[in-house]
Amino acid sequence: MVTIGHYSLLIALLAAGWAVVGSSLAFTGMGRGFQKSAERGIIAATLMIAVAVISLEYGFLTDNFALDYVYHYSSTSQPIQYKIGALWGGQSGSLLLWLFMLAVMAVVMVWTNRNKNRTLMPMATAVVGVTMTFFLVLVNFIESPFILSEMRPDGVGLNPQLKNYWMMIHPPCLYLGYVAFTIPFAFAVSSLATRRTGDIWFRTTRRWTIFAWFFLGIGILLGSYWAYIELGWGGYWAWDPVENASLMPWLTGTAFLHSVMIQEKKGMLKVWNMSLIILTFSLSIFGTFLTRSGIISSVHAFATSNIGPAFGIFLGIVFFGSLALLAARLGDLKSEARLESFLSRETTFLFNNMIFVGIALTVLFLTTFPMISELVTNRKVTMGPPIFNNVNIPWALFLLFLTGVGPLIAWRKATKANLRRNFFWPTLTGAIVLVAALILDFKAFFGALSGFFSALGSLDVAGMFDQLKAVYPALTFGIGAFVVGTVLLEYSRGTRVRMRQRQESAPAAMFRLVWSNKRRYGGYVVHLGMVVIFIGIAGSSAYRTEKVETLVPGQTMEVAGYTLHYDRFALESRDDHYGAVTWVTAERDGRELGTILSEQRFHPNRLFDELKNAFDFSKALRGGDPMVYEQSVLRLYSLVQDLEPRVGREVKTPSTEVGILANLSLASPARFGEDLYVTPLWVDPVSGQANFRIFVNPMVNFLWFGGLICIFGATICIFPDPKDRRRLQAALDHEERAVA
Amino acid sequence: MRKYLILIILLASILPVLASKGAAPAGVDRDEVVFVAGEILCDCGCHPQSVYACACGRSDEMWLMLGDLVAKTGSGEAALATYVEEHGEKVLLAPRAEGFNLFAWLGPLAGLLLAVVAVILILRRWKANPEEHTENGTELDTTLDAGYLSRLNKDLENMQ
Repeated sequence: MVTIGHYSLLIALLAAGWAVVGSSLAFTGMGRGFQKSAERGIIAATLMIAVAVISLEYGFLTDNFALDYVYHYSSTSQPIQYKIGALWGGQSGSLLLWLFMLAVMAVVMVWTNRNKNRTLMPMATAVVGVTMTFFLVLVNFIESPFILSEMRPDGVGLNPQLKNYWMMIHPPCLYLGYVAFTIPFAFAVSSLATRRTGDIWFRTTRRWTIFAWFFLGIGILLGSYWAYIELGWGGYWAWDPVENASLMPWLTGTAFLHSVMIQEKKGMLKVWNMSLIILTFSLSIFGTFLTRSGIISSVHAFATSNIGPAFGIFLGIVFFGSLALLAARLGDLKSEARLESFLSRETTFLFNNMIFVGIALTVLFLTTFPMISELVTNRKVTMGPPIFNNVNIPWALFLLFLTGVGPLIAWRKATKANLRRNFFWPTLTGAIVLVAALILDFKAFFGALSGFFSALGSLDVAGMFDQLKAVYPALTFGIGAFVVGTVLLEYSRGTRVRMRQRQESAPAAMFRLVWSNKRRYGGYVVHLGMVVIFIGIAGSSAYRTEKVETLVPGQTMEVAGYTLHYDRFALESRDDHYGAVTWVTAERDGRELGTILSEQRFHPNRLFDELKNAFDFSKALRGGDPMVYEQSVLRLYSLVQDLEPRVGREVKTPSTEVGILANLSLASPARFGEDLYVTPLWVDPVSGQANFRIFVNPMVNFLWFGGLICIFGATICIFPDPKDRRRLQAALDHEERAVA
Repeated sequence: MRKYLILIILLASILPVLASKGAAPAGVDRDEVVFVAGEILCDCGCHPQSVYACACGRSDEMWLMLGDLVAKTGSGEAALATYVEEHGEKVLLAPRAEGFNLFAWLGPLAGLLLAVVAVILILRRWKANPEEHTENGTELDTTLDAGYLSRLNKDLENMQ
């Protein structure tokens, strides 16, 4: 299977290479037969890549430790789901998965355009083909997953932090997002190359763009959730370079989704839209370059390698080549309409785009600042969460505000009457909530005010930003209420109109309202989800309580109104780890809320026979005499303690399994959405004495609810819309007639 | 029995390594240690977190080391200064807002202001000098561009 996998990638390279040559010949007008042949080349390459993926998975499932990649990311004791998921546990497998997804999407692109878009397809196929060829060169010659060594009895195993259900879904979702942006980019380049700069390219790829945005968003959300439940520090976003790398294309992609509406409605912002899709695709590639090249270190760079230069060159060609083409076609991209008023939806969208791109560029600037600083001053600096939060939060709040303004302000020109009619109630609601939030937290507000001015007096820039933090939650709640008001107003108006004009019931009217204009009303649902996400972030960041305490079984502690009773502990050895499990019972107001299980785990390195045998022996005793079983786990602790100094390295990898008690009951509304989060920092295996780190994270579940609402809204948007199809068909028919 | 005693002694020896972030060395104000640990980056390679926030084993070791440093230097501020002097500015979770680092702190804000000004200028230009009167470059497209033709047809239909 290894040989099959290896050669199938070589054949795929030839097929993809032919697809590039064939489609380029078709583009130069040498015959449509070349395009058909190129499309078959894409399909053949995809089949070969699928064979390579199956071969590698077969290697994992059969524990073929002669394969270097399987040896490094799997082991005999690894549960089967993690053996399958280990495909993307390292560098070359991730590249192969990326390539496979791109190839499947290329086939879908070829299939859905088999009878249309014949003018744009040759160059679009060539662009996708070039991208596939690039990845095929990487997996064939630079980062092959099929490198063979001598057969080894066992493997190193997947990084314990990756052995998590959500981690198995999160990377494929992210890759889907990154990869899917290739298709709109390919059509954009094709429209520039063919000088068909009208609206066909973005109408054809609209669902691809929403799909890419949707999966990138889900990937980011799942990554945050994984960090929250796995890393044990009580947070979900740390501005790690890889996190930033996924956020940047998502931000520019969101900007594109908004600004393309202006091109659709008004024929404006053509150059801007082209620039945005080029930037979005380039940032998708840039993220990988940034973290895999080793120029910026990241926890997510589970494997850095020598693919950096190759990515750098490819990125340079993509970015500068596309910009050069865009510059050459500026004359074809003139606006077809004029701006009639500053007070219009067009202006709002322009500001909205400015902020999205501004945040993306800020994140890019701060992520690469350590490199810039070293180049300029020869000093290394670290860019941790404080600077990212301080710099980005004001931008993000402004963006949230525009989320409310955009949908209600009129196209072309907003009159005073329009503003009054649309904004009075949402503004009033937002103002009331803002003032109420400030009053409820007035000490923090006045403290922040005086702190801000005193920091200003002493020119303490970081201090000024820090002081502002205290007002952000109130601002978030106020602006959030305003946005919710605008969305509800839009829904209620549309529903009432339908009820009046078509005599429909309220639910039927609302359903048909959404169904008849999925993109618009689905988009509003996404806006609502974003508000809920902002509230979750504001609440969990500003009002978090943390306590660290050492307890022995039977002792209790108090934290933020909760009483925690450390009931008991047990030693365990199963699957691929041994460690201690703790049981903590939580109470509030004298009422028992539940028991929280958390674990401190150690994953033994199976390459040390002595440790491996002791571990396997201990696992075999599970379910037998509890005393003997416990002694066998204790023996593992002492063996590791003895072994590490002898071999001069760590022979186990620690990890924690966080225990979370979520308050999702409305019995105590003030605590709705709150998490009681327990991390055992260490547990003494003999006495059970444990050092617990407890977080009470108010409103944190709003973040996940908001994500689900966004997913729901985006699903509405992504549904096929007959109106969109008719518009695209009309445009294509016109083009066919014009060409004929 | 002797075997158990040895085991317990061995395990007890692990405890200092695993010691809690909850405790500070004797005679040291815990808040001072929290201050330093909140400013210093945990070098475990996990998410970029402060020693105080990070939940890994390495952060516990660093917590102890910083506690000792506070004990030696007498205050959190002094311990922070000593540690930064010894290891360089890169150990700080965020760079100090001074010198070249001001670009990082204020650059994005300045960028925002510049972008606002740029957008306003663009809007003014668009309003005063609409771009629909193009002199050249569109002739080729008007015959073939489907988007343009689509809109033109729509407008003509509306006129009729």
